[in-house]
Amino acid sequence: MPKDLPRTEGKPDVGDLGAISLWLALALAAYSTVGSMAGKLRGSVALVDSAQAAMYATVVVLFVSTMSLVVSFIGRDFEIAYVARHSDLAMPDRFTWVAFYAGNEGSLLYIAMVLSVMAAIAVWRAPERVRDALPYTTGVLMLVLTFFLAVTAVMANPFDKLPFVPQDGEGINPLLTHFGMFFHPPALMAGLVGISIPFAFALGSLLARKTGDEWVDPGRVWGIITWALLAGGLLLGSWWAYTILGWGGYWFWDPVENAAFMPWLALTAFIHSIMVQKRRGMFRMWNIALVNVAFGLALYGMFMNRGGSVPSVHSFGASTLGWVFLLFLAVGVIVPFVIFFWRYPLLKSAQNLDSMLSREAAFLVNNLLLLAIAFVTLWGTVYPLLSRLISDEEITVARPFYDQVNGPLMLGLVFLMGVGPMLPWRRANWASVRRALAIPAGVALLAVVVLLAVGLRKEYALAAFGLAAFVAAGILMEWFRGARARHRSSRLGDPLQPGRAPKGENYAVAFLHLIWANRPRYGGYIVHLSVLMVALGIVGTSFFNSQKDVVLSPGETASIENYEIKYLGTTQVPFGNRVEFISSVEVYRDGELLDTISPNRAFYPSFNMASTRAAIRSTPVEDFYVVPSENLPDGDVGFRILVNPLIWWMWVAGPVMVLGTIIALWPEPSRVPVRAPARAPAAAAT
Amino acid sequence: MDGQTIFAILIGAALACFSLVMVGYAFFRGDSPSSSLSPVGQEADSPLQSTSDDGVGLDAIYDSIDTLELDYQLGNVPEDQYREQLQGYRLQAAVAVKSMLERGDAPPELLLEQEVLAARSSGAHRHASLHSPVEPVEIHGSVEGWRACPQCDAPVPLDDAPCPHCGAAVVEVSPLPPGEGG
Repeated sequence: MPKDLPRTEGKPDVGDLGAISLWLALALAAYSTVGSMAGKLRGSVALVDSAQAAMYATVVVLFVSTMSLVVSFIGRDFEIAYVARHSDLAMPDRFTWVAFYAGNEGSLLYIAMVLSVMAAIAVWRAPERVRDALPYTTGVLMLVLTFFLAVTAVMANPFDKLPFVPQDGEGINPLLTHFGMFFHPPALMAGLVGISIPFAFALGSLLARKTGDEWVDPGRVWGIITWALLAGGLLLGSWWAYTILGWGGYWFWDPVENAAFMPWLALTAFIHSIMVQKRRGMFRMWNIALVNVAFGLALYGMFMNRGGSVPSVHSFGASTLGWVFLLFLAVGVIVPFVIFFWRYPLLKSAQNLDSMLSREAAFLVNNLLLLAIAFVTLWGTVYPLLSRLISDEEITVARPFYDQVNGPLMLGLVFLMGVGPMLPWRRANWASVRRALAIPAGVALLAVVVLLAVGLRKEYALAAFGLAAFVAAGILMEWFRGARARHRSSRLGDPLQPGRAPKGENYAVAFLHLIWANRPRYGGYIVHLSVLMVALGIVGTSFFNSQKDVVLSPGETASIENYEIKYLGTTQVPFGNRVEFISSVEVYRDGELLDTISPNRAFYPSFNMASTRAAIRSTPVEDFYVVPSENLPDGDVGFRILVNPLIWWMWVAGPVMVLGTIIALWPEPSRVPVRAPARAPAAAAT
Repeated sequence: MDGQTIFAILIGAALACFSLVMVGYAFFRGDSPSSSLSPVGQEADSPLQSTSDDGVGLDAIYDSIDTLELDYQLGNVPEDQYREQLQGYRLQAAVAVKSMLERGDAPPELLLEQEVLAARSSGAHRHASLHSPVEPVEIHGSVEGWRACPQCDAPVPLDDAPCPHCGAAVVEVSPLPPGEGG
């Protein structure tokens, strides 16, 4: 049994310091907001500089506040109500990080800290071209920060004290004691609030009447960063749900899940269409509208998470902050669109769409599909509220609705993922498109034929696998052609440097150089591959999974597909804050012993709740999943057994996506301003 | 008041002083106009991000050329479209370079390049007049005082007879006056 260490003696009391620095940060952020805007409007350089310095100071002051809360947790300072509610003496120190944002108060402080750091880096690294708009950008960012700090300081202060000092705290929510919780909530919260950065660059440019492409580079970079944070957070959240919630799934179309999914969709659209503006000076209005939509959806997500009208396993329960966030949501949606329409006449694109058969057009269709999915998801999320308002009867929209409506739209997106990269910018002709798509289409057809031959008859699954093969073949073909072109040219030598010996790159080196020389493009391809992996997992678990619920006595067996389990028995292990019931189960496949696994179920008396840990035998082909759903008094155990094909790919997709994002964002070397002439004039003249 | 509270107040006061210094420094520093809107540690942008008249940056044009060349190598763009689009991008880049030079915000490298090109151009003139004249190459069309050399595709100012890059003598063909056509 783990030792319960008394942590109340000799503890540092830094709660007052945390509270003081929180209020100071609020004052600095408010000053920075007003100073930036007023300084720009009055043309006062000193005021703008001062406001910017206040923004940097906010980071330092908020860091002190954050560390004060961390130290309070480590010291188990139960005089602080937040610490008492979210930790106890039995909580291992490693969960301090999780306990920090386990409740509304700490999570708001975390959001403020992250936003202040992101804002400082964004302004510090902002390119010269946005210089004129930077005070407005700073002002917008600090306004958002001021909101969070004001709510934290006034309505949800993590440093509020109890009138007495309890002997022990209530403890951390058992569902949060999972490895995924170290990254899932912080990544999602950082992603949601991080949307403020591209949004602020766009809005700052509008306010400064810089309605060209000045904000595109920082907007794109921060859009991708926040997109990756949201994607990582969503994936980790799915993994957490899969392993701890005990129902064997990973996505429930829960309102709070949807609330994080929708801004991710809008950001996905944005990071594609911003490329069109970067390259062609097109979609200027569209991109600003998109980033406004993404910001609005992020605010909606935060509202749902903190007192939205639908309870969720992912939300902060019993929050009274809903109306404040609803108000902020209203302001955050209405004001940017008012500014957008105010500047609308200036937002003329530099170019027009040359052809519908071009990469720009593919991006446009991609955007429309993504927004359609976001709209369908929003509709499904708010429908219960609307139905309650209209008919006094709450009608909940469940998974079949999302599957039926979003499923075909997602297939369309996957198809575009295969076609879009094959289309050149500006214009393509049918002959070249046919030539480029011939091999991927052939591979897709072959995949479908093979799947039909092995007995697969589900139309959606066939279409999905065929499209996945189409996209993967297209990407791999591009890689191969590019590597081959480099390989060949390296053997011939550089025509611009005739004196230099050929480098003779082999295919592997040529491939790596190809990626390195075209990082945004090939990083994007890697991210596309990770999306395909997620799609494989979704298709596998949606169409081919098997599930069985059984109650077994020790020594009894149960079978599912070609697996069989034999329940050996359960051991009770008491801990400081829980009792764990660890079952021992042998897994056989086709009569052969594969493994002995230990699913467990823990009971937390102080929360009066149980938490499960599924035992999962995971392979690229399928997961074998066993979770104890019930421990009966006579030693019998209710088990849920699942076979989830291809889900392994979904979890592997996360690191692949991170890798692709890093490659895509890796700074490119500066260019030589003017390319060297190929030949000397005298040589050409003779 | 216990020691811990005093500790908190002291550190809090130090933070407040730090904040005041940060905020007030800008007002007492004196004039430094460039610093106010160009944050600490910020790199100067590449002048290549200057835009052409249609608002697209030179950097973006070079990116587009790179992408076009890659797409051409990968077989995604047929040769005729590749040539046409490359020509378009080069002219776009020439316009951007020209507007940079006119605005006077060209980087030193570009100015040096212009001097070298001018020297080569005069050298080519002399060379052409003293030795074997280059057969003039006829081109059609230009973009605001610039045109592309049909031999090497480099941007050439209209008043620069031989191409400063390859030495080909470039003459522009004007539409024939009415009545002079054959």
